[in-house]
Amino acid sequence: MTPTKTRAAIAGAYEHPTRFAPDKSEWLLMAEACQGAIRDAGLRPEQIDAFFTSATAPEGGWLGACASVMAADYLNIHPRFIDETDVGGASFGYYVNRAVMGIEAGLFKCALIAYGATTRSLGVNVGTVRYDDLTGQRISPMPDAFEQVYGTTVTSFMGLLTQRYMHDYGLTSEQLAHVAVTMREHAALNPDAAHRKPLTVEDVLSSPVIASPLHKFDCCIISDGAAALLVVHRDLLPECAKPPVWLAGFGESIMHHEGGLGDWAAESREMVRRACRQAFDMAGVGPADIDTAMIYDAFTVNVVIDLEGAGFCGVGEGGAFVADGGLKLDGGSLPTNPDGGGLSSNHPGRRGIFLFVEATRQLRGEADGRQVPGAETAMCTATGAAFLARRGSAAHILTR
Amino acid sequence: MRSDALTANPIYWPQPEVSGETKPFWDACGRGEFLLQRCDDCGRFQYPYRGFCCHCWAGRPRDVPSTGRGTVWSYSVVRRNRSRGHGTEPYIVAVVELEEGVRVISNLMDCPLDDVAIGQPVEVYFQPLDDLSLPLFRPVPAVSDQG
Ligand SMILES: [Zn+2]
Repeated sequence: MTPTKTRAAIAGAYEHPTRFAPDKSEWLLMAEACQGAIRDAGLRPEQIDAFFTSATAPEGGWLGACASVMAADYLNIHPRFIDETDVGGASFGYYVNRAVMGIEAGLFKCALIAYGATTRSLGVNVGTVRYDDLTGQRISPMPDAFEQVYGTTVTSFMGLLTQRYMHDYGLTSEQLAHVAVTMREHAALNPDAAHRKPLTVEDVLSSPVIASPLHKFDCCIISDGAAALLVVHRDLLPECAKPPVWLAGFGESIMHHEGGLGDWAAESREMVRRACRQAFDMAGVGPADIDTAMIYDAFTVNVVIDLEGAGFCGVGEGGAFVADGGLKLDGGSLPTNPDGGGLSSNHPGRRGIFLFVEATRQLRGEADGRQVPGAETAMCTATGAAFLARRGSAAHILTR
Repeated sequence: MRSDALTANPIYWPQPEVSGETKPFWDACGRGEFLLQRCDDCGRFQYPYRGFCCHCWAGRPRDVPSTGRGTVWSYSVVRRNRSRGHGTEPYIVAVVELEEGVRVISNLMDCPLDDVAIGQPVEVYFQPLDDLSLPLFRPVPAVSDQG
């Protein structure tokens, strides 16, 4: 099936090549990414009339409250419309959704989505500290007093989810290790990737346990990084330097604790299913129409849950899918994260934006050395905000 | 600073803030009770403790002490926590499903790390901190009368 398009397309996309920039600030990395995206699009900064960015404090820098106004000031741009919706690493997918909605509603025509973070330079242990320790805040009466007080970290939250998912759906650590191994194989093809040394399943399983059952190599890397996207109304496309990557469909969904009665494991997959169903329905396509997927791999388990939620395989079949090489650029049924993902290429804390840059490269045929041959339709899925079971997913269908 | 907690356990429990809304829960912990709430309108339980029924927004949630017994719904052995105050010894974060069907997060204490398993029977107990008592869980033998 050929996807139905919205009136919005990605006209410019840029991922900063750095993974470690102690001599810069996250503000400057973001600005350099914006320069890259505006060059890529062939547009001018004064055409930007909407702006979306995410706070990076406390995990990735100093950009905190009122992030979009503060960053607009630094970049010296004059957007009419701003947003900084916070769904952790998935935020950027939400910005793409809001950009498409604003363009469809006639509110603006040229949306800049930008991100920069220096998490690695700052030495922030994003996944292995309590959140209150990261922020320097006290343990709030609701809900931290009932959760953070117990020495929880992001990795322990994901460990709890993974353990239960294994119990309910038969997933194994060895199957998960294949996700990390495949991402490393892809990263070897990406000169900008942070980690390119080959990795084996045995390497993953013998790496230190951070929070069981998650090993070190089940967890994303910590990098510095930046990226920017220009999402524009089709009226601007004649001015643009490159062919458009169309937003064909999008969806989003959140989950939480259901007052203490929720099934965290099943609902993690159901949340993804709802977001993906909305995106597929809007685009008028299904899983079989996707040539390549960008799946936010904060942890290996995220990939398995997203595969099952999106319908690329059945419930409980995600482990076998990844162990059988389904994600591989070389012969997989769903080449996934050809850039090496957050597990091996780039994860400054909020990876969501990089999914769209790699999807754009793939659909333009610009992914030298790691190109999915003839890729016409791509999918991005991202889940963010791992405060125990409070999370949000975004899903997108992109087409050339 | 609770030097006793630091030396006795690998977990550093920071002092949580208490609001007017959550004070009844913490007061009950001081009496050795783990408070759930049950709505007098829709009949559903809720946790954590809050001042309205989050299920129906209509009824009044009534305090209902839990039996304090349940099973491990999920767990993670945390081997790396670089927060200030934490040591390097591993500890267990668990989601406990109470007999009332409510799932709560806590620490599973007094449990060999290799023995923890989903479905394992556990019971609540209370660890005194400076200003309040913190509910924690520990294993109970699978076959025993806890009456
Ligand atoms: Zn009610």
